[in-house]
Amino acid sequence: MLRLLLKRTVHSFFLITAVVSVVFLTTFVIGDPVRALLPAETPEEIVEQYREERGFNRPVLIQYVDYMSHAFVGDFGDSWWQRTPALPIALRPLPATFQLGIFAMTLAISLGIPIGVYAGMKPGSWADRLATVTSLLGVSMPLIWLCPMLAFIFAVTLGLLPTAGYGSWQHMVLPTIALAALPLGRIVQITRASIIDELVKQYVTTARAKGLPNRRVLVQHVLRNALLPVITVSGWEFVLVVSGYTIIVEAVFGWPGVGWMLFSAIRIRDVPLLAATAFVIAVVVVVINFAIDILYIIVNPLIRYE
Amino acid sequence: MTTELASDDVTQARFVNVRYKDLYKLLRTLFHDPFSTTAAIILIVLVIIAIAAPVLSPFDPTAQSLLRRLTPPAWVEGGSEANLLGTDLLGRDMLSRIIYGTRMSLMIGVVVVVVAGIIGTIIGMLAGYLGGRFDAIAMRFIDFQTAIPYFLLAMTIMAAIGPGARNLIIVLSLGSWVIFARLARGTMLSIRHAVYIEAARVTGGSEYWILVRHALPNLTSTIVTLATLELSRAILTEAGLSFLGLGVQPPNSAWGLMVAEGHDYISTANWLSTFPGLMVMITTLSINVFATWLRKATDPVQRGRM
Repeated sequence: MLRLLLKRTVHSFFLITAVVSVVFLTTFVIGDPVRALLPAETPEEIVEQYREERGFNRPVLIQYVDYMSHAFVGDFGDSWWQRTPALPIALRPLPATFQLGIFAMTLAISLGIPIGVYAGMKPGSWADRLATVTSLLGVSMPLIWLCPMLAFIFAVTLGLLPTAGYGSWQHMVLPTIALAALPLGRIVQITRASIIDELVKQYVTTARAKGLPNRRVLVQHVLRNALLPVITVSGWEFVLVVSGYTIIVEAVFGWPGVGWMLFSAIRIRDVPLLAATAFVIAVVVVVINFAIDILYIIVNPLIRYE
Repeated sequence: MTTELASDDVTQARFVNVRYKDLYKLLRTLFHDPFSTTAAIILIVLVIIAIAAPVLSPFDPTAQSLLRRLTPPAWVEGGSEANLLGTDLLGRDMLSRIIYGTRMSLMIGVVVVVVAGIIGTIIGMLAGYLGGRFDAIAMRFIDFQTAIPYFLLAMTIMAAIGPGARNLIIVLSLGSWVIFARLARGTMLSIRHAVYIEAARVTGGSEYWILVRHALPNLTSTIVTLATLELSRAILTEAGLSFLGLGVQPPNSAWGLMVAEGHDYISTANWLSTFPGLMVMITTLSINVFATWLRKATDPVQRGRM
């Protein structure tokens, strides 16, 4: 088990290095940071002078080593926009994203598991149809459409909630629902499939044969096994929520989280801030994956006793 | 001994042939399920719209008419018969733009799936078949890329290499091929030591012949199902990137771009983002319904249950 954790740590380290490297490669090698920094009509000699001053004319490999050695201690340079170190600026919106992400996942899990379990127990019933529709809508729902529609129905037409912004709990409702929609579909799907798989196993027959009431078979035997894949999938979905879905949701609802920060950094062409934000998101992804692994080890005796 | 193996080989060949002849049967199961039938018809209609866009669209999608700007759809008060779905901010005909948007989105999606599918399948098959160092390197790469938050990287790369349809195809293919490679490798590993592969080798079949004639037919159904799912994912990602301004650029039409253009007018002119968003939704939903049917229909274990 210790070996597994050690392996994961090394893997995580390389993963973060890879993300930062790709950002370096795309922004500093393929893209031209000086051109991004200066107005388009700047004369060529000033561009060259800038390049010289900031060391962008050095060989790529030296720039890369220099960049990575700074990045390793969390130094991504000063944000071109705020003129202060980029990493603290990139870290500041993190709580807002977590707030949204955790609420959305809680909503998705607390709705998804009961629907999935019920659907799995009674295939073909109305609950099963509901589950199928939920999961299909969940995996096909374009966030770019769901968000404006939620805003249109609940904010513009009904006037119940604010269209966008950050502050009170009312501001959180629509972004949370939008973020929860996709994980909900996936969780319903996996729970249903997992329950169906478990119910035909021999230990269920044994438990029933010895006269255990259905509820006890379900809670004490089936759920414990069936929820293992649900934990994994929920973890993946949480990763997708904070590293993907949230970018669009935050952009639409003006929620000041990391997704919004990444989008802003790209729009204002602030290369150090972009790199720092990408780094922050990569670290968050790695930490969540790590947490899921540990949780999985705790709940799965097969791994625990290995 | 030789005859025994050879006959096994022949059985396999016949099995493959039978599956192609089953196409008629396959289509019959499709028409038994109303949902799948609807999905298939919608997809066919979308493809026709995409191909015949110049013939079908009533106006030039880029022709502006400031006098007619923000005309509502025909059935709303103030709408006109000329612009069935209304006009946008610059007075361009919404219906024509949506038709050309269909062409753009489907074109990008299909090209991405074909490119990523071919590259991924070839690399995955070779990795699974050859094993050894090639497999180790390919697998390391695939593992890494699946772990990196994809949307984040897609945004960064698009910001660096610049937006546009061609770059979108490159970035989306880069994100998609690993999924094909992983599936192809997994299937390849499971059939590598199958008797009919051994038989083909014993009877003197070349490596190329074995891969193309014996292994590939066994991969087709899973790859095709994955391709449909990846098509929906590519369309969603393309719409998301275009929505954020990192994808298809004006004056071209793309659904995601249109939703973004209409987003600020959600309270006064909701048709601007409603219809293009609805198109994304209908497309991805149809693809996912179709894919669900395809998976069941081509899986020999499940086919009996339909």
